[in-house]
Amino acid sequence: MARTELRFAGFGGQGLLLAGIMLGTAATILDCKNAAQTQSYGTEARGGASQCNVVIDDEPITYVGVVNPDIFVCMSQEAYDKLIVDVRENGLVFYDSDLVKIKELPKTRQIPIPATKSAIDIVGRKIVANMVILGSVIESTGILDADLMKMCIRENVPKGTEEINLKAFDKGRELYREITGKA
Amino acid sequence: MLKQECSINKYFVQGDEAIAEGAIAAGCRYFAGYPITPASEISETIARRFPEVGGVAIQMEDELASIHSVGGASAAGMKAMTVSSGPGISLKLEGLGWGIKNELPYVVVDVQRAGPSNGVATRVGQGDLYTVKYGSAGGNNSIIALSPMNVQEAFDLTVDCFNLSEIFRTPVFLLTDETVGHTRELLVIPDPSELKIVPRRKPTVPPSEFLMYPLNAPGTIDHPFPNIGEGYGICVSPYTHTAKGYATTSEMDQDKMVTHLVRKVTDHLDRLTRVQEEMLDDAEYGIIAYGCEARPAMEAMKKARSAGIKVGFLRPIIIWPFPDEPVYRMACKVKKILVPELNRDGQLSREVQRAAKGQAEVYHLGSGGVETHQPVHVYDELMRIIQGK
Repeated sequence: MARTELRFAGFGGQGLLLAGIMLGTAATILDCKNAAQTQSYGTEARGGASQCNVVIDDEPITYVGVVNPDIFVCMSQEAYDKLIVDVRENGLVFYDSDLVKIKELPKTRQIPIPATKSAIDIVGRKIVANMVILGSVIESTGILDADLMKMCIRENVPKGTEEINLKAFDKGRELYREITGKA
Repeated sequence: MLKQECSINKYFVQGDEAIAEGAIAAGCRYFAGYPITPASEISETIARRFPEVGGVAIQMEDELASIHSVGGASAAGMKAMTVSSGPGISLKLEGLGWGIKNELPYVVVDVQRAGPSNGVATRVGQGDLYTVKYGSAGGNNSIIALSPMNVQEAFDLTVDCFNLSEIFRTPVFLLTDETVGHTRELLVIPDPSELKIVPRRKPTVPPSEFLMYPLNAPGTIDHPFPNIGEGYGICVSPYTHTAKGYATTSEMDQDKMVTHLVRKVTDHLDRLTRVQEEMLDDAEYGIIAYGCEARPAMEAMKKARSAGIKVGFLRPIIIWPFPDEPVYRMACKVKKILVPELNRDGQLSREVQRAAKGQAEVYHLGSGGVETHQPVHVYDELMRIIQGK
């Protein structure tokens, strides 16, 4: 695959950093691809603006930064308003439809995923909203095999939370199929 | 570190974590630090991993205490390390002079962030190039510093820092930055049997015949270092010393000591010159960058090459002593050299200018930091200087 750039953005505490790390881990360790993950965050432990960038490529990665993401995962209005302009033409946007109001953008496909609400509905914990939206991204883009991704989640989330994380991930895949009529 | 059971010795981790693992692989078993972004992940990884390998990790009351205790641990025979970032490094420099003067092998990691002062704590900068070289009071500094550009190198060069500190009997810097420290990439930890580790060299003569400091043969390296408490009566003080280690105020002794400290590095440039060179054979223009800035610089070089412009690239891996010879060779080949770096005072570019000796025009592409340059910034600036605008 050609170089693919992803940006996850929202608030600290939403687990977007973990979602990016999972993606990079699965890509490099399980799928023998190259990946680099960078981040930016404020000095706050939780609640501040948080951004996680991932580059995945079959070729070695020289520049690790993400300037114009191919895929933008957005879980706060602030992040959307600030970062939507950076998305590459014909890029893909996944946004939490209960947290973000989008603008009309003719050249960008914007996919609403009720990640936080679904996480609460299916496992009663909004903390797995990151896995819901990650599931949608994987289902939509196919950048990684969903089973590899699940293997990685099982290995790396805190012990005892494997099932709720995997359930949330599968819910995200299902949501994408429902929303886009690909069920 | 995320645990990977499915793939042995492969990890998707931060540069900071790789530095901690490199230290452990090199035999580091004493660590003292004081928390600071963006170096704290090194301390956290060490704190988690040291109990598994029998190391001692202490969070000290401040930076001074941490570097001095590292010096003490080194004199007592331990491989030791401390880590910090700009505002903390400036404090540690006091202890560093002590380490240099007493020829104590240990490693100091500087994960640079945007300065001066506290600056932007969580974001990248490259303002400490001169700090690590000249910061320690009194001059006569024989600093060795290595600078990685990716996660694998963060591991590999940390191992090299420990080895060089033993060979040269001096504190060695790993001069890295927030981008390298916080980026996650694949790290492959080699089997211990594949790693070259330099152990502490011990005296083979009785204490009565042993000279702690080889001042009669200035520039000597690989000199033994007995542990404090082994009966060699070694003296480790902040004052100028004789070959035996006793304090002296004589002009001759002072000159002998500092000559040795400086020549220890300058007499062995063959072992202390390491650069990455790309596409220099037919290059008409050059880019020189180090650490995180090397990667956008190389991307810009590729872009220029695909546009048919003959651009080459050089990266100091051992950045102190500065690779004067390779930079001079590059300058003799190319017309113009661009130096992207994350400061506005032109630290790397000044060194390049000095080493180029007028053979090529040198241009500084600075920024205050926070973000690295994007490849397009480096490319556009390169085009601008090529066109002479």
